Amino acid sequence: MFCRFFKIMISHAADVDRPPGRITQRHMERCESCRRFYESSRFLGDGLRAEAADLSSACEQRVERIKKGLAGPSRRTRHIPIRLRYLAAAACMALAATAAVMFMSRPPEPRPPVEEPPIPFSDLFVTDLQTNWSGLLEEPLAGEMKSLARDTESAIRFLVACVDVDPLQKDVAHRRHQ
Amino acid sequence: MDETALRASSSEELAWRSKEGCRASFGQLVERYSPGLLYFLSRRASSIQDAEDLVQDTFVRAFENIHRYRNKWKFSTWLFTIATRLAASHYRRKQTAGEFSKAGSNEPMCPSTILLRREQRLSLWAQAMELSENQYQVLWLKYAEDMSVKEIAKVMGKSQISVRVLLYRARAGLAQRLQDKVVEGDNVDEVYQESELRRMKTGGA
Repeated sequence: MFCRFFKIMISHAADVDRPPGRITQRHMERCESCRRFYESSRFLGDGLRAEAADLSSACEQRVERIKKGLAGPSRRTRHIPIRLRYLAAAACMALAATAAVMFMSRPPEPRPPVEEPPIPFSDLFVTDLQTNWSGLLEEPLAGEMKSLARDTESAIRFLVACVDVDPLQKDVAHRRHQ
Repeated sequence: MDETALRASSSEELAWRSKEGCRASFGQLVERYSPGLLYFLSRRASSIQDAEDLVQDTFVRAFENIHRYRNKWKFSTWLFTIATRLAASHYRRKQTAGEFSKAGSNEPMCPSTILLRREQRLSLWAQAMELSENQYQVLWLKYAEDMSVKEIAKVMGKSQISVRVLLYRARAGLAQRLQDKVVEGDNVDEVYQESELRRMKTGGA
């Protein structure tokens, strides 16, 4: 159950090349899996170290190729000195400034009068046709609305005339009641 | 400065002399770190030429920026950090250009694996090549370059905890692979025997 934890402890001990702690060692005495992991970690560490040394000495040819490549002309031309970089940047800035000054000092050219393009005949026709059609639909409705409004106004006037009461007559009626 | 003195000098001393303009010192550094860088980058490379180009680029970058090197870190840490970053940007560029399939995928026989196998038949490092790219790289930095966890974390741009986890997984994965070879009845005994012999030769425990 705790083997994973102890294996991590064993691995951490191998990271710093020290033997595992007392508790881990006590666990290893009982647990074969952890003991095997410890042994394999040690074996792998030593084996990998020894093989790495062999491998490093086995690739002399490639090291020579790398050294030749570093000394070759393609590598040398790649390196641009910092002074040259600054010079290039300054030249670019000077060029940009000159261009800006030249552009600003030039007098503005007079603009040619803008001619409105003639409206094409087909557009005119379409516009008129649309206006005519809408006029044909709107005119009778507008006339109807106007006559309705007139009728309503006269009806209201009639009603007002009927309901209107004389204030003197009102006073007479009040006295009679008393 | 003669060859023997150059060979005896530490990498940090050589870097310091390179800073002052000594080309021979930088040449010695190239000779010293080229194989390590080559194997470090080979897991990620699509071909051995690709890895060689990357190693060259790393040294060019290191030479251009040698004035920035400080003694705070070991020279190897500084150099491998440059290599890691260069490789990352190189493969990002290649991936966007669609020049090759995903780097670090578990392709069974990439050219560098074939090369390694040719040189060291069924060696531990050839087995390690089949681990994930990060696991292989932490193993290389730990055992071939003898870096501490802190230095590996600096090179890989990861936290120390993730480096420890990667090391644990790499060990467990490699042990499992060897175990599987035993079950398959492969000639893993040869590997063990060879490694044991080397340990005895090098005076290992």
